Formats: sequence, C-alpha cells, structure tokens
Amino acid sequence: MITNTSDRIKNLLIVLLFFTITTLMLINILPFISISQNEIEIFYNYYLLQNTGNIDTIYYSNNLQTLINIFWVMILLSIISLNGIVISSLKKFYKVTYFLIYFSYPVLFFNIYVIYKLIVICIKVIEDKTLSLSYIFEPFRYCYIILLFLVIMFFVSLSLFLLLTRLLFEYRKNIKEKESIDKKNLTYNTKDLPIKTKNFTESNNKTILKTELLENNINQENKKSDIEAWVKKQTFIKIKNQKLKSNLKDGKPIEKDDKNIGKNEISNIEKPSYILKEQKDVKIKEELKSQNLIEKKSKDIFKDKKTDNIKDSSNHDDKISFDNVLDNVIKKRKEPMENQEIIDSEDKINENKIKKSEEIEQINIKDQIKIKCPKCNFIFPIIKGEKKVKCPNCEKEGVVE
Amino acid sequence: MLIDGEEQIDDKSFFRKIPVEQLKQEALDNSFKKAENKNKPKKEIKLPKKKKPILKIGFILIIFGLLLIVILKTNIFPWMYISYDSNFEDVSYDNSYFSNFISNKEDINQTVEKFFSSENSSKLIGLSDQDFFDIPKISFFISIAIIILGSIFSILVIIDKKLNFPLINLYIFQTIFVSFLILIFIYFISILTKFLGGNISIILNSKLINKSLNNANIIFPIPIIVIVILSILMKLCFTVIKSNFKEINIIRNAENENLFLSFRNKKGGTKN
Repeated sequence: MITNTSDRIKNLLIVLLFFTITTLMLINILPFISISQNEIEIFYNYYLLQNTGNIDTIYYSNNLQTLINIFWVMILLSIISLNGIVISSLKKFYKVTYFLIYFSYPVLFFNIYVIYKLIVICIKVIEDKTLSLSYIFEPFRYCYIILLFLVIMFFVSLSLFLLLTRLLFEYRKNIKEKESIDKKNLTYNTKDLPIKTKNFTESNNKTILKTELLENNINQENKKSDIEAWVKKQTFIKIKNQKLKSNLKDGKPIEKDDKNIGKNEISNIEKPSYILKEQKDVKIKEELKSQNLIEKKSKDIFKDKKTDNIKDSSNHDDKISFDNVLDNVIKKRKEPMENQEIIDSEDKINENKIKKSEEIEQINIKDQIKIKCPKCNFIFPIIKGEKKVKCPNCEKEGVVE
Repeated sequence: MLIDGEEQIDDKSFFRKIPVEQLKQEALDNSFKKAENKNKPKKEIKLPKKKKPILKIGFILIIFGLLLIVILKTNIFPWMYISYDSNFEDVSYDNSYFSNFISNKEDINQTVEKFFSSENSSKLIGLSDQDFFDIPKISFFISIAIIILGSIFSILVIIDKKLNFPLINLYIFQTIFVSFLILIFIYFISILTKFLGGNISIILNSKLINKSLNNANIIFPIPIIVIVILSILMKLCFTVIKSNFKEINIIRNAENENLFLSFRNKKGGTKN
C-alpha cells in the first residue's frame, strides 16, 4: 500500500515540478501588461516592467517578483520531497525520510496564494484605465495561460496533499503495528501457531516417545488382561468345584469330565500361571483354539436355540473357555480404550511440559524468520521450520512455501 | 451382542478408534518428513547484474558540459543575429555577433550599440548590454560546473570499482546529485529566458523597435540552443530519478523475497 502511494506521490511531484518550472518560465517570458502610447501598444514582460522605471508598473513588477520567488520555493520543496520519496523506498531512516517527504505539504497553500495574488493583479490591471492585460487576440489574454497552468498545478498539489495525508496515516499505522509486533516478540510463543512442535527434530522425538509409550502400555495391559483372565478362570473353576462338592453331598452322580476338570484347575491354582511364561503361552494358545471352536459352536447354538441347554450342559470345557475368552476379548477391547485415555493423558502431560519449556525458553532472534503476509503485506516473525502460519494482522492462514 | 452384565460394544468404533488415530499420526509424521525434504531452503534470488548507471550519467554530463562550452566559446553559433535596414541608405545589414562582442566594441555597429544601450533597449526588449556581458560568463561557469560534476560522478565510479559501494547507496547518492543538478539547470534556464522573453517582446513591440531599427529582425540562437540542451538534460535527470526509484524498489523487493518468505493459501489458491 505504502509503495503504491509513494509511487503516486513521486509521479505527482514530477508533474508538479514540470508545471512549476513551465509557469516560472512563462511568467518570465510572456508579456503581462500592455500600455498604449500614441496609439502604439507596448507589451511589457517581467524584465521590461523592471527596467521601465514607471511608478505605475513597479507595483506589478514587485508582485511578479514575489510570485517568482514563491515558485522557486515550490520547486525547492518539491525537489526535496522527491528526494525523500526516493530515500523512503530504502525502508530505512523512516523519520528523516517522512520529514523530507512532507516538505511538499505546503505547496498547495503556496499555490492557492499564487492564484489569489495573480487574480488580484489581473483585477487591478483591468480596473486601471491606462494599463491593460496584454492579449494575443481580444478576449484571450496571456496571463490566462499562466492562470490555467496554476489551476492545473492546484489540482495536482491537492491530490498530492491528499496522498501525503494518506501516507501519513499509513505510516502511523505501520509504526503501531511494528510496536505491537515488538511487544509480541517479547512474549512470542508457539502457542499462537497451529503447529505444536518447535522444530522437526522435536516433533520426531515426540512421535518416537508416543510410539514407545503406546507399545509399553499395550504390553503392560496385555499382561494385566492375561492375569485377570487367569484369575477369573480360577474363580470360575473354584465355583465349579464347589458345585461338584455340593452335588456329591446331595448324592448326585459325578461325571468323569467334571472330576478331571476340577483336579486340573485346582492344581493350576496351586501353581500360579502368571509367573510362568511358558504356561501363559500355552494358555493363550488354548484360548485361541477355544475361540475358534466357540465361533463355530456359537453359530450352531444360534441356529437351534432348543438344543442350547443340552449342549451347554454336556460341554463344560467349551463353556468355560467360551466365557473366559469372551471376558478376555471384552477386556482386551476395553483396555485399549482405557490405554488410549491413559496415553492421551500422558501425551497431554508431555505436551504441557513441552509448552512450559517453550514458554520458559523465549525464542531467540536467530531462530526467527520474518514473513510477509501476501494479503495485507504485514511482516511478522515466525520460528524456523514452521509450516502452518496465521497472519496476526488479517488472520490469513497459510503454509510457508 | 449383549453379554451378562457387560455393556454393548460397537465393533466398528473399536476397530476405527485406535488404529485410525495411530495411522493418522504416522501419516502426519510422514507428511511432515516429506514436507521437510521438499521445502528445503530456496536458492537466493540472484539480483540482475546491471551496469551501474552512475557511470553513464557522469560521461553524459561531461559530454554536455563540453558541448555547452563549445557552443558558448567558439564561433559556430552566433550569440545574436540582427538584420535591419539603414535609415539613411537603401542598404540592409545582416550581422551576427558572437560570444564576446560586447567586450570587443570594434565589432559592433554604432546603431546596434545605441539600440542595446541601457537607456534604450532595456525599455524595448528588456535586455541591456550588461546582460550580454554577464550572462555568457555565468553560462560558461555553469557549463564548467556541469563538467566538474560529471567528472566527480565518473571518479566515484572508479573508486567504486575498488571499494565496491552498495548499489542502493549509489542510487541515492545519484538522486541527490541529480536533484541538485536540476536546480542548477532551472537557474540556468531562468537566466536564459531573458533572451527568449526579449525575442518575444521584439516580435510584439516591432512597431516601436522599427523607429530605431528599420525592419529589425533580432534572434538569439545560442540561448535557444542552450535552453533546448538543458531541457533535454532536465528530462534525463527526471528519468534518472524515476529509474532510481524503480531500481531501489526492485532491489528492496528482491531482498525482501530473500528475507521474508511469503505464504500461500492452504488450499493452494491465489495469493489473496
């Protein structure tokens, strides 16, 4: 925005300079007043008016002299501001350059004064009976050319004035933005940015950490689930044995399978399986086998509901393994969910730790890169390696190329 | 499937939740790796190597200064050309006067001398003999000043080859120097416009002038030629300022592109 306005100002200044130089030359060259002497019209330009020595013309020559001086001042001011504009493109020494640019600010007022003065002179000449404004042909006077140039100059200087005020506002806005950025820089955190990680290496480390945690948790939870499943199995066997004992007391016949199961399970209780890895592996294998069997059998069960009770009562082994495996499966399905929650909570803790460390470690200036918003041309710092960026000025989101 | 005392478990949600998020994370990591590999720091935009314009201007100034001295001091172009008819005889005179015709009074015709006396001519065309004496001197000094400025520019270029100044600083130095030159040129032109004004007033006040010089035709060729040369130089100076402004902006933008990375939209659309 600033570059556009400064470019416009530069063009306007050059146009203004062209017009001021030409009007200055025209005032010097063109005859301004004509005096009729013995039916001969004598045309007086500025130099002639100075040399005539006539008291009537001295006033006009002096006024023209002041006009020429004002023109010189205008030229000087506009040249200084033109230099200021060129230096401002450096985007350094802001105060000095803007001070130089605003030298062309009073040009408009000078212009208005010159127009006013020229009109006053013209009116005075018209009112004077002995003098008249020199002309090319009757209605068209030479001074009208100068007036026309001055009017054009007025419009140019007015637009220049407006542009300069606009530039002033933009400059102030820029300064405020800069100040705000400087303030932000002191407490600039990665919080504000969508990316959590500070550096790629850190992000890498973080992912590695996460994967490690996941693996550990999964292993631990598997172990837990195995143990719990085994404990459940044992309790189930105990209940079964108690039932068998009670049946014996009642005088009911004991099936061979039931006896064996009870013996086996009790022996297993005495030797806790979670200590022995081999036994655990065997168990898992058994479970898997039983799972397959259950899947097959469950299909048959759902086909004929009537035969369910008979089959259930006849196959105790299958029932036990089926329940256990179901427990295991359900628990295994639940556990990852819990694990995930645990992992998430751990992740949050880790993230908080990282954030805190990032907050504590204020970002070094060396790690920063200045970035320019393509929408509002707002320049703001980011950390090296950042990809996703959000403009603090216009809130435009984007990816660093 | 409902199991005694157990909650209903949605198989789909279970199978989606864990592996999908893990996969997402892995995919993100992989994408970041790829992005890191792809978005390696860009090569610096090489600034277009240009011949330093300061050299050209220095030589141009020297050439124009020499040309002005040649025009002012040699007798190629006359300072003043007069053609008039004698009042007493039916003879027409064509005289062309060169640079130092006022100091060499032998060359001047008596009628012409009378015409340009301070009592007479200043009231007719606004030019006196003093102006013919002063203005050529001033214009000669100004042309020497232009040569000196040009030589300073060219010396700067020679020094620059050894010290290697930054291009932006040279551009700014050039603009300041050129603006100073513009002021000199304006002053030079405003002095010479006296002759132009005189020329116009001779045409307009021909009836009055004919009383002292019959059918007088007076032209001042050197001031007109010098004004044309100076206006060309002025135009050149303005173009130099314009080009300097552009060049500085180009350099700054190129620097900014190297310093400030721009970012595009997420969707990869247009910049704005």
